[in-house]
Amino acid sequence: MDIDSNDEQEQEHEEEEQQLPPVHLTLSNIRSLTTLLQAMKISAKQACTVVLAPEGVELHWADDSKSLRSSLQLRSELFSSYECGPPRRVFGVAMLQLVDALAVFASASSAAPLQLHYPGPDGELQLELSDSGDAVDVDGGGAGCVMYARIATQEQDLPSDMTDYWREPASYFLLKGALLKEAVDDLEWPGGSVAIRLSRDPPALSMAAAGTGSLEVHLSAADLSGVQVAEPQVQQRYRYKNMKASMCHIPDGKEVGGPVSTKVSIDANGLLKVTHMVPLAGGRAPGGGSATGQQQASMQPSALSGFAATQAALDSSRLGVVQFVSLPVDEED
Amino acid sequence: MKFRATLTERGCQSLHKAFLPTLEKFGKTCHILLGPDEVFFIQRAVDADGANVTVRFTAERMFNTESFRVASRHFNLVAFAVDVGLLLKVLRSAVTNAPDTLDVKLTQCAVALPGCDEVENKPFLCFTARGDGVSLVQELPIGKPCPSGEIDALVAAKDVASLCPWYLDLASGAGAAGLARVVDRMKALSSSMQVALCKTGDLHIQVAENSVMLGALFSGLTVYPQDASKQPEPEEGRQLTAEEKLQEALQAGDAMTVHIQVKHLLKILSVSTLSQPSRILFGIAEGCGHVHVMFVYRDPSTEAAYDDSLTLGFKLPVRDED
Repeated sequence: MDIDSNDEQEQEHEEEEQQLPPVHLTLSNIRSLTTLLQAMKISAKQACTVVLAPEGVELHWADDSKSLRSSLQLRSELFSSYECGPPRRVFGVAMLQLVDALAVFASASSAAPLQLHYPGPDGELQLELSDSGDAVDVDGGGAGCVMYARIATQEQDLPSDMTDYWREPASYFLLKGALLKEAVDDLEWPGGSVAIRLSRDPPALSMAAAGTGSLEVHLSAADLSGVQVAEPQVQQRYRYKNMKASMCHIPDGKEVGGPVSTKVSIDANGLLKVTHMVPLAGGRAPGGGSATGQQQASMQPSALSGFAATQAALDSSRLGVVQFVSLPVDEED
Repeated sequence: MKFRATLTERGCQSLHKAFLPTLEKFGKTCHILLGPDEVFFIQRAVDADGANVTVRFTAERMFNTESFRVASRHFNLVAFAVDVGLLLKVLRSAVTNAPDTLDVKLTQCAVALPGCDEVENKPFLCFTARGDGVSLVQELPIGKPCPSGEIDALVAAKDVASLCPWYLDLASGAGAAGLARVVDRMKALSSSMQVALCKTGDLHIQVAENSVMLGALFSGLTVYPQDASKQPEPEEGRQLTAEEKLQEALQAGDAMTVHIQVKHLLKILSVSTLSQPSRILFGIAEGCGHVHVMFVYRDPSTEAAYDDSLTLGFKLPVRDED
């Protein structure tokens, strides 16, 4: 990438192609974005797809085997300023580079606001962090640090949405993300794929893996809420790799605005959808906001009990969402 | 060729607490260059992974002047290579077990060569530590004392030919620790970085790799000498981005820029915590041939702005511009 030159001709061409108003967003706390990206924990060099839409920002990624798809969503209300008119912009960026760049920004300041502009003169994504901080020079002068980055973008379509194939009836339950993480972490040692077994009466959940040894983890009904099981018993298997990616990288409640709550759904064909709701600090005053979609609709307080009801009552616009969809596997492959 | 001395407590402390650990971070060996007025610890680029490191003490800071003797046929300069880690061990052992006085002497000992009957005279630094009824003798093997040609080369290597037009103090402004944190993360993106120093007290750093370009602007750093500094233009009405500020400064001749290795800058910043300099002066040589960094120390017991008896300097190679 040629940083220093100012290629007028190329600029004009880009502008002709995109007579769209530029997007300017400000996230009051860079940690909101870095925490969600960590939960996605993608270390591959592939590009991820970024969507800048009037409703909010999304990031989508599909793994090599195409059996796992991850996404994160930051609604516009979570930003301290949000200028993004229609239509929505879709482009690809190298995931690793984005994460590394944000890590450099976060090292300069843990709480400064992050500005996002798109597109830059070469169609790139521009980030800026400005920290005047409390630092005062020994000689009394003002001191500050400004960080900026330009990340090249590429043309990219959204990966196919596996939930387009979602078939009811689905089974689901809610629980604290940390409990799920612990259980799946434990299941690492036997190796092999993981079987999730949901029973309706009495409501129970167990996860089992059998490889070099075997281990079964039971979660008690007291830990679950909003349990809905489509048949007396539902059982499906998933690759351990996908389970780990979906459930084990969520942030600790102390790092964000509160404990993460997670909804796990399995559809009639065995598609697994794991949705983490991460409470985030900052953003503008809670507004009405449009409903985000199916996961919100099924969280009506009346259908839930205990902590889940409290979670649902939490302003949904304060939540960052990280979601994983996995394909099931047949018996041990 | 002769050398013997008694280390001052202060000299010994500086060495084992701060400067030998600093040298150890850069490389395993260093050369000691002794003269009637000054003592140098020198690491050349080949010793220190590309960087050139020199610690300079005045003789009176390091040794008791009455008992200090150094003599040779080449301007009374004596130089030899030592293993930094071993020297550090010897000093630590002396300080722990017999801390009252520490004498050092250059000696030759006959050493049996392994596997045969011959003996060879090998040079050693003989340390005698005394304290509390204990006397501890340690013999540190050193490299053969340098011939005059090598001594001259060391004398040339230890200094920069001339000071840079101006320096920025990395310890000012937001501070070296904050800069080190950012540079440490930038390491993940690229092994080399562009550094630009502006007379206005702005430090720009940029890394670029594959599809990312990332930069940082640290403003408000102190400029030395003070008459080289320039007031930044007032910003009303013109909000320039950091990149624009850099371009303007370069065009106006108020800034100099080079490419250096990230690991060198990072190491320099991290060793600064070992010796706690009061100023970390970072400059680009006239003609952009190298980068010169000086750690300047303050003696808290005096009024002087800086301590003349001690300096630590680094000379970093720069990459050819593309």
